[in-house]
Amino acid sequence: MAKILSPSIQATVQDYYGRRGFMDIGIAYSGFMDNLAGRLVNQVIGNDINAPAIEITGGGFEIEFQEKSIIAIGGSDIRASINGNYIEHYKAVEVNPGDIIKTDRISAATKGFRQYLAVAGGVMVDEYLGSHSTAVYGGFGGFNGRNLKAGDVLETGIVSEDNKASAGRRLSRKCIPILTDTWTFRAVPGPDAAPDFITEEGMEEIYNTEYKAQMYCDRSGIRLKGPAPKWNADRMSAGGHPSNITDHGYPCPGGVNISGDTLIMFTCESPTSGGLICALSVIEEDLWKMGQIFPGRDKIRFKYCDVKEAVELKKTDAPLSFE
Amino acid sequence: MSSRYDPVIKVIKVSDTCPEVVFRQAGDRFLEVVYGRSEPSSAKTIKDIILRSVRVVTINNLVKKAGIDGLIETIPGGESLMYVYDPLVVTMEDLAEKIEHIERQIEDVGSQIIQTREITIPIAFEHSLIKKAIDKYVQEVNPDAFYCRNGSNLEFIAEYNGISVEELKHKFIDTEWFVSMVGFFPGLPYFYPLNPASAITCPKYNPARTWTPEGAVDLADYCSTIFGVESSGGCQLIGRTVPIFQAYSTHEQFKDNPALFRPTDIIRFYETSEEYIDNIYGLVAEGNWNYTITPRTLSISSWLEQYDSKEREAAELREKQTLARQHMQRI
Repeated sequence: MAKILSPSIQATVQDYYGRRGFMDIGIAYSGFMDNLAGRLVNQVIGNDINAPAIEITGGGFEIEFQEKSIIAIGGSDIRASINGNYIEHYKAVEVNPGDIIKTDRISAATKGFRQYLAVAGGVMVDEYLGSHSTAVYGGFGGFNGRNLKAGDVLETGIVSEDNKASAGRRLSRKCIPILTDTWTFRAVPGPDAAPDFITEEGMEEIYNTEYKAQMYCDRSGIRLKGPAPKWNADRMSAGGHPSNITDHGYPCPGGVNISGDTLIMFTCESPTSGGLICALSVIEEDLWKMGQIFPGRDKIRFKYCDVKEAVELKKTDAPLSFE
Repeated sequence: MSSRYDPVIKVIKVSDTCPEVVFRQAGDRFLEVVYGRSEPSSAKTIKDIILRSVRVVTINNLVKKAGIDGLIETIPGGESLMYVYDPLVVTMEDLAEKIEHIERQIEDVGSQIIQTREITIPIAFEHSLIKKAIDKYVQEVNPDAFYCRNGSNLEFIAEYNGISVEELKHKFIDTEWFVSMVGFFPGLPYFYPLNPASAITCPKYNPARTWTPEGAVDLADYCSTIFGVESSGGCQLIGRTVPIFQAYSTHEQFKDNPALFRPTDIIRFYETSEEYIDNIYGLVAEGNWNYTITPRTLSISSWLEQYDSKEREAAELREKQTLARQHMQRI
């Protein structure tokens, strides 16, 4: 068992795969916003990659363990401590009853925005529609279908032999994701790009613009600040806003939606469908970065990628190593 | 592809009555198939949209039956199907070829007879939670929203269509609605009027609303929706109905599927009061309210005949809408 003392900006129980196969009734995947850090902290302590872990947003998170376990924390570079002593990120650390794990506050120098706390055996919550992840917009899954609050007591899993064997090991430096304040997302054009919706020059501009994340960013999407898209002239004269089309299923997560003249990157808990175009779509390998965008500060660029190139990337799987 | 920014990988023509079938790459693991190429919604009639939606449902059923390796899930849209697939199992080109084969089997949907359900639910046009959502929007998002008047959008919608608020309510009740898709947020059905004399329309909110209560019914661009859960939203609010989504079922209706609606369902509304609606929320939570659901056959050819027989009334409404919009633009 472990008790939440302070939940940070938003803390939820999430898993790696999320809730798949229900987008046709409006249920998005949910799951780790940074699915790379979430997976890695589980792997560090010898958990299954899909074991439910705590997603922490910003800093100021605090939890008290009430039994022995093994944990690892990773994601943003906000420092974490046990009983006041700093611990390394992506390291399997033993905890004892009464131990308090705490994360520092965010600062102007912070890189990244979300952290993942994995515990041996995972956080024990009921499965709903095939996943343990929390659907914040819908109020189901995870811990009582909601954000964690101070005083919540979470049940933690059984410490397995694999968990025990992991104690003290740390992910090699070369396997740790690199954090920044200027993120590059490889993205495939489509489904609604040039020439039908946006001009050729307009697409060229999207791939050559440095956008800024707005303050209004959460698990349902990341709003970008930048120039208005260059719309196809026929659509401009058709009446209504040129970003409006007959409602369609969205490529989620990954789609870059255009709402009016604002680009919104669709994350793991975005709407599954709607009446706005998606001009480009971030490739699977770069989705994790969305979870680390610092609202109101970080800059975002898109890099052209074609489907073949994106699929080739999926075939290379670098093995993990530990120190 | 003519340019590296053109996502259209293939366009096929399956018959004279079916709009061109456009295959669009939609990411590294998404493929979208759309009927028609980027026409604005204003260029389509309700008839076009419903026929395309029937085609989407038909093709989706065939695709599911075909059991394509590597296909993870599909998301039906009003005139499109989004395919989510694993590119390490099936390539985009191979998937597109398999879908093309299925598309070519269906030349026309005009003679389809759909076995579906008719669901009758109450609506309260005046409701304090709707008023709360509109007041909140005016206070926190857009104080100059001309479509929000005294905590209501009904007066604006009526004016935009050149009819009175009473006529608006009457038109809303006086049609069966066809559910074309479910999505956006959990359980939310999108539906269009089967009766063209009830084809009311209005623009969306700009910018969007940050909060909408569960059960809210809204409308824009001829399309209505019901909110399964509290969420943001962008259409003009009409009223409030009963719960349509329940994640942890306390009611038998939601035992196998948390969403009440599915594509092709037919919705009928009847008018009631705020108290009546609120009472139902309590009863549903206790598992004690009966949803009125009856099996129903929808023959597309008979519907098309009825649709055409309403043409005089539909044309009258269109004329009122045109005049109203000209008048609103002048002021």
